[in-house]
Amino acid sequence: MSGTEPVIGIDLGTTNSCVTVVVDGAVHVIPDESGQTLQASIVAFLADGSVVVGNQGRAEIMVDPVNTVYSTKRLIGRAFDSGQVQDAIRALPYAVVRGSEQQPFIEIRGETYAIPEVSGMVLRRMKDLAEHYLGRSVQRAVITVPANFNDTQRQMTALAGELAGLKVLRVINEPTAAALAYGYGHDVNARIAIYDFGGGTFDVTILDVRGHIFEVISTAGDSYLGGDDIDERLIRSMMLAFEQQHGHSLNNNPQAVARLKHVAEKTKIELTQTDRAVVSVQDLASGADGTSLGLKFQLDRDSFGQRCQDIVQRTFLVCDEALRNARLTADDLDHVILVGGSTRMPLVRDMVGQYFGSKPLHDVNPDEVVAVGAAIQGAALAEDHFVENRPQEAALLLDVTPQSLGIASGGEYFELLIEKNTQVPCEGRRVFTTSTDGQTEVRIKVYQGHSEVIAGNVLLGEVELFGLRSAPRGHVQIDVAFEIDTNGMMLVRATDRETGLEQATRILVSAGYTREEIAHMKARAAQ
Amino acid sequence: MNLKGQNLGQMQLNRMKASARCIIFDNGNIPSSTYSALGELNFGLVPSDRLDTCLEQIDQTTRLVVLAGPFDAQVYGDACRRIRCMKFGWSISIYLISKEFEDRTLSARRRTQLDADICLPPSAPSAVISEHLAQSLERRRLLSHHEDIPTGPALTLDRLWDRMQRQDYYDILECSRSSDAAGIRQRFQAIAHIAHPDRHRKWAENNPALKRRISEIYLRLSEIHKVLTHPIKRATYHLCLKSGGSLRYEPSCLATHIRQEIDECETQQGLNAVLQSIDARMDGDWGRACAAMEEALAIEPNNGWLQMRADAVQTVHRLNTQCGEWS
Repeated sequence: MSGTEPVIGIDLGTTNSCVTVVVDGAVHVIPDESGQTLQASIVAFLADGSVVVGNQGRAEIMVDPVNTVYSTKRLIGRAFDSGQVQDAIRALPYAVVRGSEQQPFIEIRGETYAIPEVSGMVLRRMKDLAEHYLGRSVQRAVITVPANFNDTQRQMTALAGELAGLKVLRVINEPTAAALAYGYGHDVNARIAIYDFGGGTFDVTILDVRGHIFEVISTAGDSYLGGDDIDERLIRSMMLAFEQQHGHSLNNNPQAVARLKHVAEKTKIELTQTDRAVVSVQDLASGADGTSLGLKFQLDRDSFGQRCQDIVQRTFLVCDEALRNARLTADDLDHVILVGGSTRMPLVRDMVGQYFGSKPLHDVNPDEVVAVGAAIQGAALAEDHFVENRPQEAALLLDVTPQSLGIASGGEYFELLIEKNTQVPCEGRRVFTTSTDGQTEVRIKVYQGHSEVIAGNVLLGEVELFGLRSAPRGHVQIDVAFEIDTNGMMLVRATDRETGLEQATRILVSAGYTREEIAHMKARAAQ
Repeated sequence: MNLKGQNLGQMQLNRMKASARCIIFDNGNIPSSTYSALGELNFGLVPSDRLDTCLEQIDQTTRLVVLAGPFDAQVYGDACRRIRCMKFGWSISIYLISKEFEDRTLSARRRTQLDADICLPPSAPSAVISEHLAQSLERRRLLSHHEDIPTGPALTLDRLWDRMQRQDYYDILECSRSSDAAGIRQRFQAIAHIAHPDRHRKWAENNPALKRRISEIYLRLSEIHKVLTHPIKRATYHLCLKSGGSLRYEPSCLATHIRQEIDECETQQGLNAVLQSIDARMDGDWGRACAAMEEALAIEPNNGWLQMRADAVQTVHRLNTQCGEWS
């Protein structure tokens, strides 16, 4: 084993997570005690106060759904009042509560946990697996996020890593990581599309791969479209069948719904291999007279396909957008690579093949490919290229920012500072001035999104310029540079135009946690 | 306090030279407030009353060069360029003193034009000078790290940064003006390979100032890539170069009437044609300017403003041809 400290790559998924590491140039996908390379992103809080993370937590979903947390990726870095969080709350059996501002918390047995804390527990489990596998301590990691994640979602994911005791070297986009895993070391010269259909998110990224340079041309995504929607469809069908069989609704029975979720997932997987699935669940609920009611349900692949066709079709709207932004058509692409568990479905493969007009490639394991790419990037970042004096051999990622960054202008309009699909790192500048005499503070609301009006975008937070020089209004001119770094996260620098001195800034993140809350999380994580 | 060269014994001067970190050109114009600000920094000061001697003294231990006027922009520009072209040029802070910097906008403009760090009038109070000095030295602190970093990347970045100060985008990328987008991308990628922050992560890890500089270089590089691969931005950049205001893409430095004309266009193709026309006008090629305006009008036939401009260009073209015939 080489002397340098390893950097692990973690794919923190909605449903499953995976950890990998590069040792002496070879990628190892790290298995758990029972040989599984995928870990469920589940944190179960048991009655005795202990916490079970990963595959062992799976069983708890059915036993104790209200105290078992999953799909936190759907909540991370989002505002409590946003439609997405509200939708998620309706679908999730555990309690999500609102913090002092817009930050969501999960309430378990009277105790509240911030979302990054729970994600951090999953990351810690991955870190422990890696340490056990390598037989040494691991401190550094590269974590992947959906390409469409905004600044807050990335910041919170990085915070989760920190709470897990990891130094997060880089937050990289999942499709880009997949491209790296696919192309690195194979001397590929091609224009490829990564079709990443995961448990909770969909992303498509178009890249130019030239030897060791991976240049993203455009990316688009829907962070609320995934395999979960297909499961949801199946659960609805089963609930309807149950109602028809017994004249009894399951709407108010979270335990039964949680069991059906498990069954739906299994049925979906079964239907990728067989043409027909037969579902039989015992003791799903008890009838009015106390008898136990079960469910019998049959489904063939074709009718399953018909029921989910529209969900898959929605992914192509996103693909259209990515192609349009890249000023390309499907014919310009050399390959399409499938990533994410949902692309195992024959329906998805067929429809993707039709859309892009070429047979999609799936020779890489769609569940592990993202984590593998993260580890390759980690290895590239850990190396000192110039000491080795062969910078040309290391992979170089040139990624783009998925959403436009801007500020409010004229009340409701979105003034663009950085356009989406701009290569990162990049910056947008604007000059701000005072509007009253002796004003010492300027506050700037920063938004990210795809819309032309601010209402259609997400408020990232407020940048506060404070301690301004006292002068008549309009005399203090502050040049503010909004930078998006290689992590896709925002940095702000401000200079006083007249004096040329650096101006102090503060960023108040809207769905973020207060300093006290973060300190509390760190203290609890250290225990 | 007066530290003019002729007032110091030769021995004293030699001793100072050994720890020369600050070189001052002083022809009697430097006020005492500057010396008191410099005194706080505990630098070895090497004063000189000839500009050439002063520049010759600069070596790799130099951290600050102070030049006091009265010079015109030309002399200052030459001096700054000479310093920046030196091997470790971009790690040296340059402090220019001149009466004209009492105009603060001019001072800010000169600072970016000349890549100087501080442009202050002689009347600046010593507290202001100290603060500026501290900030600029921090920014240029890279020099002290040259010892513990591999020289390869430092020099590569060094040269790149230097070229970014005094060359246009094409020269920086080392490609021709007629290169197509693919050619420009290729050159960009080749440079990105060595200049990307990821490449320098390891040795810049614990040095925020160095990190900042590396990211500044890369941001500029990516700006160049963005401008040159975008047809409209590229045409606008050509205008910026021709109007002589800047080597960078700064549409705001274009003359007001040009900016107005650009803003009046309603379509991308129309804009492209108008940019071609302005370009031709700057070259004095009124025939081509006319043809391009007609092309723009064909794309935007209902644009009244455009019609007016086209008529004006037409008139100039006609007069121009007539004058040509008469002479």
